[in-house]
Amino acid sequence: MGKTKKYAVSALKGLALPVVVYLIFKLIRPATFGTPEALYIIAQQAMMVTIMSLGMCCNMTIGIWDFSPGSIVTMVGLICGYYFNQYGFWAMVAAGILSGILFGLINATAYTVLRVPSVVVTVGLMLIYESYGSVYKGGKGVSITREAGILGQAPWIFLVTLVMLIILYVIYNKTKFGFNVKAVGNNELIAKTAGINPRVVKFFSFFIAGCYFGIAGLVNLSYTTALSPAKNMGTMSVTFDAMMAGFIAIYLSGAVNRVFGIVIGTFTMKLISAGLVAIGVEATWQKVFVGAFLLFFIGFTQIKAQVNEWMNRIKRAKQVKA
Amino acid sequence: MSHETVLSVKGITKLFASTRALVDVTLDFKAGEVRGLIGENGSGKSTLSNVISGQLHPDDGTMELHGKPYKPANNVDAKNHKICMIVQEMGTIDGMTVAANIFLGKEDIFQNKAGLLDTKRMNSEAARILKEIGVDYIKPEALVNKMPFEDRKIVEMARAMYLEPEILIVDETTTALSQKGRDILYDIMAKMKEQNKTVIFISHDLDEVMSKCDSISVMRDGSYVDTLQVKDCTPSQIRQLMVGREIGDEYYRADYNHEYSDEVVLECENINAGILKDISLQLHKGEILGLAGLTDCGIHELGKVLFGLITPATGSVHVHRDGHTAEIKKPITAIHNKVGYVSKNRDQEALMLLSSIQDNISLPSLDMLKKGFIIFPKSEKELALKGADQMQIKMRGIDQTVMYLSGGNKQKVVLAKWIGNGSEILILDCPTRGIDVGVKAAIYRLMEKLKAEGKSILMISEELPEVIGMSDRILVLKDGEIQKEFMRGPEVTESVIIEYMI
Amino acid sequence: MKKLLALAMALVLSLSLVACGGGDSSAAAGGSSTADDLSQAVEATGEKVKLGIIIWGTTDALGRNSTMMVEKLVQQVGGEIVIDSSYTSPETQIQSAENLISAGCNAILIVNSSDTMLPTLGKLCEENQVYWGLQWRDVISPEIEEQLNTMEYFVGNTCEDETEITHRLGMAMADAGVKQLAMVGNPVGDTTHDARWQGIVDACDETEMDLVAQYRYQGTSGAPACMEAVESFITGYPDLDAIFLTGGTNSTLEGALSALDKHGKRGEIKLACVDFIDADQMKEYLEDGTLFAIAGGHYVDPVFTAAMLVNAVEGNRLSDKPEEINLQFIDFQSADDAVNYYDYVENDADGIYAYTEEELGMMIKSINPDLTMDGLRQMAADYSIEDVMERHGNA
Repeated sequence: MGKTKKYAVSALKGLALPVVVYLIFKLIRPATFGTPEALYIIAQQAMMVTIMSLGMCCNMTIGIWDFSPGSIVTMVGLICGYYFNQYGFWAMVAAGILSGILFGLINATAYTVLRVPSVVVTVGLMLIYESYGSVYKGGKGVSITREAGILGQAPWIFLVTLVMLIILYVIYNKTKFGFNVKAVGNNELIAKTAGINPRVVKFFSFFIAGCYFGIAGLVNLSYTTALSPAKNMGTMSVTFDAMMAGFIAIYLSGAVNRVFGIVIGTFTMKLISAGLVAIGVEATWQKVFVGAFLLFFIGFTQIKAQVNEWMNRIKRAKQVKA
Repeated sequence: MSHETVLSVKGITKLFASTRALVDVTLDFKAGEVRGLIGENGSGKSTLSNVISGQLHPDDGTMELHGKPYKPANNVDAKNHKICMIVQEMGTIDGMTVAANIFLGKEDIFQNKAGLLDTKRMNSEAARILKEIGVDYIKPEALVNKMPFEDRKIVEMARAMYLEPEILIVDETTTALSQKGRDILYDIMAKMKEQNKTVIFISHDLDEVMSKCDSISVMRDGSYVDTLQVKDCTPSQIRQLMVGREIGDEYYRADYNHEYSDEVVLECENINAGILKDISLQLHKGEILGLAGLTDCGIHELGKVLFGLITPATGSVHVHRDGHTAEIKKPITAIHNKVGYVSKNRDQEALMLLSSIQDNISLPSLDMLKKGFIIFPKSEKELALKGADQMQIKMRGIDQTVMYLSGGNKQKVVLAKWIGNGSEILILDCPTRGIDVGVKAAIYRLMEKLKAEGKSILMISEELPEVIGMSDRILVLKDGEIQKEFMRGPEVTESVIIEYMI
Repeated sequence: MKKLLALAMALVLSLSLVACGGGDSSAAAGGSSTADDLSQAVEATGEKVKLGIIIWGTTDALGRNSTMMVEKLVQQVGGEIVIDSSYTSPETQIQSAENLISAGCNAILIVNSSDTMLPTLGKLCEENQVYWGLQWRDVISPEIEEQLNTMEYFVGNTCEDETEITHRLGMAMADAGVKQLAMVGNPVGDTTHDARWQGIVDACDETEMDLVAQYRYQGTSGAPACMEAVESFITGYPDLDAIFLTGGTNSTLEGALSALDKHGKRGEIKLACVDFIDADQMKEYLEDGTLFAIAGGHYVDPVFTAAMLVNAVEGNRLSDKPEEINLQFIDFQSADDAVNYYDYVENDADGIYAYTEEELGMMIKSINPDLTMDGLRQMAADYSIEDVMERHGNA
């Protein structure tokens, strides 16, 4: 009973964020915003970013900055599209999984071998992937048929995400690797003296991330059914989306497990962008609101602690006087 | 009980650049004994323990474990040889549970056939170990970052004990522990001895070493001096061996007069904050005021309130200087009014570990040094050099990073920074924590000198001998309230004060 | 003291570098002033044309075919083109220009991302004596236009009436009964997209049609971004009738269609846009009614500015002041329109385009001595499916 109650409380705490966001927009636009159909669409939108953000989870815990996910997702999408048009559906799926593994290995090797800060490595790789995307097979962009995009449609898109979520949950919470990730992330020195090899842990962390980006690339193409190469860091905005969801998960981690926090994070982000369009905020201002939300949200925990301390002092002073 | 030799260290030499940290050290450790390892800072005792635990490789010499050559590649290898070390500043990993911390790096033992970790078994195993060392109030599934500092230290001990070491090295751990934590550690040590295992106990506290060890090995300037059986020696004998000269009892102040001016320089009224209840006190010019009490009685918080680091719920702190009065609400006001504060948590709160000695010393004086907007490197260097010289900091140069200094030298840097700043009032929170006798004596002499110059000192300490030995006046706190005031005098003894503390 | 000395040395060194640079450019000035002396002559000066093109990319239909046409034009006089797509903002377009100039280009053709960068670019080109002109762009700000008119090396621009065409498409949508409209476009400051945006806003003002929702891409456009925008429209506005994209290239149109498809709104919500996409898809979309209307065909636009540049570099500048050339959009609302267009005007499969190599040659004075500014202007004004069919319909 105690355990069930504990889980219920933590679930409520975690869900408070999207619920509050939902209610705000619903209050402004009670008639049209957030109908069940609309929420269903928003949930589908959130899935691809969720897979990406799940992939980034280990890296973020370790404190590695990875700016390449968006470019890998695009590149994998282009490869998948090409293989679909040449060899069909299953070739596309295989291409997605295999190219994810390949990019994971490239990222991991580059980081481990070069020993330069992750920001430098991944920005460099992002530029390479993006440029390669625009020369790959003529750089024309790809499209697939609607039927081939089944993995991007409900219910399959939810199933794929669920499977990826369960896998990461197990890796993160139930394996030696997951424990080591947390140890290296929080204090590399102590981890090292305990006999953990941080370089090995980081290598696998990058590798797992790559595999997830591969699946995300496949799902992304399946969802949009068309894709053109990006360039000049055009893939950064989707990388940031996934990163922000990760940040939300970190801040929710007191209440819910990181892995579930990511799902809540992506859904909340998509809810906000859909909500801003729905309440008719002028196009340029939409981004301002998103930025302000993040600053407020991330700053909130800090402010909360200060307010608490202040309230305690007042309470104490009252007691003394009484 | 057999007392055969377990570990022999033969002719170990270790060089750091041109410094000889260990010179031809040869000694034996026996089964079933608690061996104290004692020496001044820089005497080589920590280096020796690091060599034994595999973290450093000697430049010369050999070691034998149970008569076989022992040459650990690293600390993991040493652990495989059942040699474990608990160190002073080591720590646990935040964001992970107690159980995960205990089994850090050893998770494989809980892997099932599918390669997944059996967290349930991990927790029950952790619970068993915690119970074994007598701390079953610590829950295996709790997050370590939500636990008090002392409990985290105990988790570290559990981590070491899980490996069932043959030789346990305890490196200056007790300075960070409260009485409760120490008792647990002493129990572990006693149990090890019972099981015919070996404990190497490194501590600055001579009394502690004398009461807990069977024999004591003394080191000085990187060389092994001698090993004495505790039952056949006296503290002064050991002190003498440590420093190589007579220290005698000239350790604390010799006088019993408690003269200081009537002029009040720092005072607080009706402070209520956290555990503190309605505290008022006055510090006078030229006075050394001792604050004594148990770790959690509020003495450390009171020091922070006086420096403006904690805002009290009620009450106020005032500093009087040159005929004007200022209320201290923030540290900056305190600093402007020449109040200096030496924190108990030296590495976290008093020093910028990655900066140079110069940067640390000159930090509070930058306002004083600047001409217009510019601080000339020359004047900064002069100030730092003067401070370092005054405090006799042992260093390669003024630009050396503070991080790698010994505890005593770090404390000298902290003191140099406030003295360089021209502070008139010093709040010293455990100024001799984790520091060996030589530096301790130097700090006591400094305090006397400052008093003679008319400066005022508030000394917060958990060590009664130094409070009694140094203070003009002593305030005893218990549960956040002032229990008793003592004036300096021969009638003030530890047993008298303890009455009011507990 | 040592430091001071080092500083002084560094100063001297950098000054001398500047001096060297100055020397270089004055030498170049000498070279091209000879070209000026000969500018009255009909004969080519012999300077080989090296045309730098600053464009978003050459992988989509519009970017690919327009650059291809310009290349063919330049090849008529034995010149070459250099492409730079490395920019990310109006400011970095200046860097692109610097790169091209240092690569030896003697003319620059740019699709500028904003008006405000033009005076800086102009100054750069004046200093280096490089001719430059704009493709697909009109200068909106009168102050900037005035500045540009005083610049010796600015040949002018070619543009379409962007506001007029979107207004026309907007009115057509209103006539078809559209009440609630949503719009997606590039970030504010992109003059072309702003002008297209305005046309729709005007059409909404004049009719019962409402612009209920809007979205501007953050950074770059693309299928995923457009899809997200369209999905937001669908979730927020259940009664939405139509969506207008100010730009349909870079897979944005496919993204929009995917979204409509996925959520069962294809055909129910009308879709219209500017910029043509690949032929097969466009025909299909027009046939099945997914695409309500589309305007484009302006891939030939850069040819006209390029022609002005080539003539200028060769010393045969057609006018002594910057000139604006206006090109007609081609728009269609039925698949039949598209068939003719893709047979005769932009036929990638058979390599048939709006102008043959011979026809391109007619835009260069060293090949066609009778060419005048008005003549070139007229060629642009005549551009239509019928015009192309008439010229080489049976080619």
